[in-house]
Amino acid sequence: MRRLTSTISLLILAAAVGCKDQLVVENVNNPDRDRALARPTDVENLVAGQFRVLNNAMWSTGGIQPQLGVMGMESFSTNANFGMGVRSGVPRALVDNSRGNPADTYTTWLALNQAARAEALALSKLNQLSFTFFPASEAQRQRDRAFAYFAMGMAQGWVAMMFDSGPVITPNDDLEAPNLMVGYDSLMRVALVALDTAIAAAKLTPAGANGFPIPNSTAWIPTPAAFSLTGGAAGNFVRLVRSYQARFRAGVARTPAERGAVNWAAVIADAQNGVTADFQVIMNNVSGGWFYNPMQASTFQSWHQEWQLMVGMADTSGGYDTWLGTARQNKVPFVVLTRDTRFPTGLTRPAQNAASGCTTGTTCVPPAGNYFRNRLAGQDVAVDGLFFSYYDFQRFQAYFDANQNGTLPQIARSELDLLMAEGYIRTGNFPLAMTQINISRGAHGLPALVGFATINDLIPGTGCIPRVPVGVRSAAPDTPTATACGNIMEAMKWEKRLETAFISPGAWYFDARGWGDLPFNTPVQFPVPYTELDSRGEAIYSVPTTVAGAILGTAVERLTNSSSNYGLGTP
Amino acid sequence: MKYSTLGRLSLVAGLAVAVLATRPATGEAQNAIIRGAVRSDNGEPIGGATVFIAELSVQAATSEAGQYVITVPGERTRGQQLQLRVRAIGYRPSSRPVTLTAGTQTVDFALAADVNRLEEIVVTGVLEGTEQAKVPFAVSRVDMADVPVTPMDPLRLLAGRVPGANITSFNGRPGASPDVVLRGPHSINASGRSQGPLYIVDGTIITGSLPDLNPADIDNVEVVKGAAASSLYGARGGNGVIAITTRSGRRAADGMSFNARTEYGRSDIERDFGIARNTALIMDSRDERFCRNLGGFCTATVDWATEAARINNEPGDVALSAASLAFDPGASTTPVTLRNNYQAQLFPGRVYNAVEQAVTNNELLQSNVDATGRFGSTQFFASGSYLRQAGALRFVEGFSRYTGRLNVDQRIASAWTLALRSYFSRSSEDLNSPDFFRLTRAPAIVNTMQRDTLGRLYVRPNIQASGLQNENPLYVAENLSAINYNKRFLGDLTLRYAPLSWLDMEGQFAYDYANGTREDFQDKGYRSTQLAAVANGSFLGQPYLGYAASRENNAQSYNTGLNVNMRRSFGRDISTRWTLRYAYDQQDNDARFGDGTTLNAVGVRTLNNASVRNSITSSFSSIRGTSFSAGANAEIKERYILDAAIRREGSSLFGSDSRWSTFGRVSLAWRLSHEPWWFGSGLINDLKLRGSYGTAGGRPQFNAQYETFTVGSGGINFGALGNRNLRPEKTFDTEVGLDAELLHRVGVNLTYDVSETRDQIQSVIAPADKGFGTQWQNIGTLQNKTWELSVNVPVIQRRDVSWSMRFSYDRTRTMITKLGIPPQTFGTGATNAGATFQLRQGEAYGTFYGAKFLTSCSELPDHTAIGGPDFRTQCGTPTSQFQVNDEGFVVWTGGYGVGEGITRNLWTTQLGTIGTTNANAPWGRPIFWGMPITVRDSVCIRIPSASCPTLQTAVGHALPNWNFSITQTFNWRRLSVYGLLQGVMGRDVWNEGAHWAHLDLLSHDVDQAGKSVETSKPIGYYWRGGPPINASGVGGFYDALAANSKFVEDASFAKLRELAVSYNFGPVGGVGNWTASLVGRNLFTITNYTGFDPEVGATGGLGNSGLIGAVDSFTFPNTRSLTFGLSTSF
Repeated sequence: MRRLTSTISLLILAAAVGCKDQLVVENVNNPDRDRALARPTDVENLVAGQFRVLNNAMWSTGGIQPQLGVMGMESFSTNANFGMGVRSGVPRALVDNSRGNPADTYTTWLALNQAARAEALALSKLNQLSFTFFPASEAQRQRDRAFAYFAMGMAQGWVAMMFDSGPVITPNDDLEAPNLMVGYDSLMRVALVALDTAIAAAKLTPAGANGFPIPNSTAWIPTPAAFSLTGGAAGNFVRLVRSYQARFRAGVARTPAERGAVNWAAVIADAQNGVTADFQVIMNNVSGGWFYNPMQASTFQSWHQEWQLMVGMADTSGGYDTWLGTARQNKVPFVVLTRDTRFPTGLTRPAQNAASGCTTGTTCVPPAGNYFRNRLAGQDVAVDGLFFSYYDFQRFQAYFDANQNGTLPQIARSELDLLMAEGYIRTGNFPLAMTQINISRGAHGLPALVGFATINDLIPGTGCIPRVPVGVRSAAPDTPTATACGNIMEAMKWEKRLETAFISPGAWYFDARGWGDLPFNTPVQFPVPYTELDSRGEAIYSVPTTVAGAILGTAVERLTNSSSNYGLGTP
Repeated sequence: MKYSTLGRLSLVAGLAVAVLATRPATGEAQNAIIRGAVRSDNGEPIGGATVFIAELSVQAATSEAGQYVITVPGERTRGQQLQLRVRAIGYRPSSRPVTLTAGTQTVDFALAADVNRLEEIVVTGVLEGTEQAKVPFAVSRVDMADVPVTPMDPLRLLAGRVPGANITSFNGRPGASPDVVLRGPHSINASGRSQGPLYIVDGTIITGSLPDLNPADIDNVEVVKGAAASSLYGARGGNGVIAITTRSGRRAADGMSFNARTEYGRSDIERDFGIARNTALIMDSRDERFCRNLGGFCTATVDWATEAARINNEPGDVALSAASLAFDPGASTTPVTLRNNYQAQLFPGRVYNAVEQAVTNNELLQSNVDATGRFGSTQFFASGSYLRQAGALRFVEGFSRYTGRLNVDQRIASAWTLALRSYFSRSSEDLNSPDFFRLTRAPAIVNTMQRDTLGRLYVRPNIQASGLQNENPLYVAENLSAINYNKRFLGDLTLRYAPLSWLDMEGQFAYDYANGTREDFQDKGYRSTQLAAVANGSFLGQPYLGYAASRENNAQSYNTGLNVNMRRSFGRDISTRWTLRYAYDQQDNDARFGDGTTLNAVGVRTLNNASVRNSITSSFSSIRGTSFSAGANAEIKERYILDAAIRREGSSLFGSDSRWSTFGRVSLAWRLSHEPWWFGSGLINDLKLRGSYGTAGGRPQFNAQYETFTVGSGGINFGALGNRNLRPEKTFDTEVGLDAELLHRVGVNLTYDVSETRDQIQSVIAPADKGFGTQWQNIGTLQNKTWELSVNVPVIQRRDVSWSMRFSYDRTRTMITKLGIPPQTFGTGATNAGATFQLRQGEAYGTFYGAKFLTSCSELPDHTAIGGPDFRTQCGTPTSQFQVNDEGFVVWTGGYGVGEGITRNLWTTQLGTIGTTNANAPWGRPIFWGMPITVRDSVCIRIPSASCPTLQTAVGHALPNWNFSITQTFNWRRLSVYGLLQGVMGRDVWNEGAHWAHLDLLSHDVDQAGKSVETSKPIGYYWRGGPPINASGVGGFYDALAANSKFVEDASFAKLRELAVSYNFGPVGGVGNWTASLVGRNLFTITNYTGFDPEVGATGGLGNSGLIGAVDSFTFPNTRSLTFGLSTSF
């Protein structure tokens, strides 16, 4: 019996010891982060792919971009799809952030934060000196660090541009701990620090192979020869980063007061040192995985048309004044007669149809330099007179006609020129402002600005472009009934709008909120999507419409130490 | 030191053998022989009874003549006094004291009938074999001896026989396994795992499903439904346990006997779908030819048959384009047209029913041969079987299965026994079938059996628009191949050592191997309905270029364990049992898949033939678990039974910080009828009250605990955030009940059970900054409350005549008492059923949410609070603005009579303007004359620019209110009649088939021929022009393809599940014992459900069970069959 008892005890003991690690089973189907990022090349692949993720997220049809377009008066559509309908109307509707709302922004939110996290995970490896490529190359490590900080900063910058708050993502995070959510201004500061860090890493000149330039490939950023990242070592990369910094510094402002308080000297410096020509990317919808798909720029009729209110500013015929003076319910579109070569030529609609290359069907082939077409009459979709125009944006029609394959600008040099112009205006340097504005005015048939000395000086002549509604800044867009020639700020704004339309996601919206041009009660930012709030166990909130003017919504500064760099360190 | 898995298994098995090998020395002496006869109390010999001496672990079985012989080796014969016991199915056990001495003695028994099986031994959920009367919780047991109709698979055997067991045959495709849910679902999110119970076959823990098992091999099935009872099975027992014991030679008398049985018959489908017989297509003035869609008047026509022949007789691989028809439901139609047209025209010429064309009476053949015997100390059972179940559809091979079994019990020495259970099966299953969606999409004029001049079935017999939808499903069935081949081996080796009367030990090693391969093949030249690139189901690319796919799945599982059982009595009144157990199990899975298109050569099925390779995938997983259990059972004065068990379990499926969990139970039974003071023995001769409280659990799917990136040809992407603290779902179960026998005849079992499954394993959305989109967490609680009742009434029990009936009832309410995540929708794997149900705290699980069509004036809104009318006051009289129409729906009539739509030309009128709000219309939305109205969110009226969606309300419930069954068994001499009627009450099903048919105007609901002017309705009443949610909608029940109150139907039914008439001829020519039988399965269904079969469902989604996924989505309906059987034994 004793022998039996002993044997049983031995058996149980052996089993207990044996089972200590037998319950540890490796998942060989899907790697965890240690295995996914075990090799430097794995990390590099992750790093390289995130700019594409950002591009696709911001230009996705189903993302937030269509809402930004209609809110910023860059486009109009009453289609319910992608939240356009609910955002298009005037008076504006609230941002309904309730569960299941049809204009959810979570897709974009998730993609941006995932991209930032991907780069942060990569940086947690790349920031280790011992993380060695084969053959060992400090240059390659620093190149990848620079790109990772760049994409991480970009991702967080876009979140700060659109949402009232967002999570700070750093390479040092514990994924099992909750991440801080901070207000948009703090988050933008974090983003700018990350972009500064990218520049700092790029400026290092360590030895080794596979350093700068950034490979010109679909895996990183495919660019045409005209602007090749392979062309100038780290220099072009730094210029690219500073270009985005300039855009972010100015665009993050929610109100005219905040826009006025922007560090314009920094914006000017960034823009001055930004890209010297348009930064273009080769989109490849079929095999390259690079998407540019704002349907407002490709799908017309009920999906898109330009606001008469906006394109009317180019008109020199008096039609705009007539239109503004007509009650909303009686407004009818008119043919914009203008010397601005971004519009079709011709004095009549058929003439402009022909100039737009429109024959039959919905496709027109406008001549190079035209950004808008005057569509055929039979293709009109009659909507509220406030919005109804004959014009569609069609600058990139060739790209869509090529099955969404081709080269598209992602940062126009003119955007930087006009950011500099705004900076000069706001700092009282009107001569330099005129110089910057005249670059694009001159390119599109408009007379140069001369002699502006104050903000109150107006563009001279009855054919001034732009003519702007009087009082539109502080009232609903259907309130103004008369126009006046624009001042230098309006001249800058006109150029900025036309040169950035559908090049920078939400370009008109971000600028208009800082310029005070958004229609009355247009929300100037989005609440954190309900899905995210649910995942954090936080209460869902929407942006109300009960306060006057463009509204801030419920932006919350969740961290009192707003000057913190949140562990990113000093670049 | 790190052991390999097999190394550990070897270690455990080796140590077990070492322990078991420490047997005491033996000597030579003269044997003791006990012989005798076992008869019933009316003198009939009882064959197969077991006579045994428990203290010595020796036993024998009686022959057909009831004779037995027990031989006790001389070395164990010491003149001791022992109990000789006897057990037989259907009889009360008996015992007689014997004094064991050398030589022969005779002991006879006369056993009383045990009609309620109170003395039957159950082994599942208990520490060791226990008489049913002493089990402190509900264990249902089905003996195959009581089942006259051999089921097609072992799970259908339980349908209607076990209260609380929901067996849903949601798919009638031969070979498909039913879904099993015991009492109620326990997991809110069962995706990637199952709501089904743990299956154990002869001690082998089964991986996956059971369709491969030969039902004729089964001796009995025990069902443990509550977590308290199944706590011994830990984290695998939360959904209950079904334990199957196969036949063995343990009850065999010396020698060998054979049984043979064959059954042959035919299957078909009981019910039809209700295809439209009228058409809304525009025809010429003679109603013979169809107008072409050329605009304007009917200036050109086509003859359907001629046009179909023209487009199909194309010798190439692609059918030609058909002429477009005027007002084709497959093409777009304007709202005005919808309100002006009536589907009242008969199709010209001959009409067909595509479902009837597809259905054919296919054969059902089931043959089984087995042998049972005993030779010396060897007892065995061996069997072989063949099943061919061709189903009921043309061009479908169906399911066929070969099985073989060998079960051996070997006494090695006086204290040693070895039991081997082994089983092998090989089956093939045709996964292809005529697509029921497309069968129900074929208008009555379509002849799906029409062949072209080259002998090919028309690929596009329907010339209407929507090309792929019009693909002939019979062409597909004839020309596609999708075959699943399965091989399975089950083996169990148990070594038992009983050295002492109070101690025995068991070492066990069980092995389950399943191999499945599937080949899909679409040959080069397969015809297509259209040239454009289409995704033909999973067949990618141009269909005519060909497609081939191959996949293989392997699953191996081992479980091994060691049991130590001890018994000790304290005085005469207290007897106790103690159990210790160690167990280890491991399951290894691997799978691989490859497919390709654009075949190089005709008829070559290998993947090499594909010039375009689509995908290559594989997966591997291993699941390991180990446990230590201890249990104790005390029986005091034979009337107080205390039972307790605890199990400490570790599993590789749990998070690294939560690998180990503890489960356990305490149970109490009180046999009141055994109290000396019991006063009711005349009425209630046996009464036991029982109560249990315990825990069992549910495990996550393999991937759940891990942090994962997904890998693919595109690189790596975020997967799920890992969870180191992921632990099992834990079901806390309280069960109380009573078992009684009245008047020594009527058996009653009543159980009430409340279970709460806490720490639900759910996939939640992780904060976006984590990067990983989701994380599996323990959050939420699902509660089941169950009543179960079974009554067994032996109405007549005489020597020549017997009649018994059994009634069972159960009801379960399943509530989400804590969700822990935001309310959300979930669906099933059925087509377009992605958001069918809603999860909400406080809501019944499985609640359909969808649009509600108004059926009562009180459902109209009251807008007085916002300055509008109270629409309820404008409803209900013949002159009201709103009235209830002849189908019971509230419609807007504008004050006219509800039957005046045609006579006053009102159907095209409307209240309010499309695209705008209207304060005079309910909810501010325009509505249309006579059309059904959906309930909307009343908030919308205050926000003019809001989309004002239809309110999603609860419109039905997938889980039944209650189930019942009635079994009747009648025997008169050699004639037996048996019937089983099973009912499911209060279960709703979304009839998606009928719903979708309204879109295509193919439901007979849309037919207006024969209706009066007052009750006729335009097609817009059924169809849509954009759903009513949409600004341009006209109303219409189609609405959107999502559950709504019109198509979530009451699918209550009662089904004659089994009917058997058999006659025993006895020996024929002096040989055998022959029985002939006529067997019907699913012969008829009583229901108001309008689809094929109310017993329907779809797996997938969070519910992942056909019971919860109550969506009728064109699945293969259950077949009914009638067979003739012949059996004999000798």
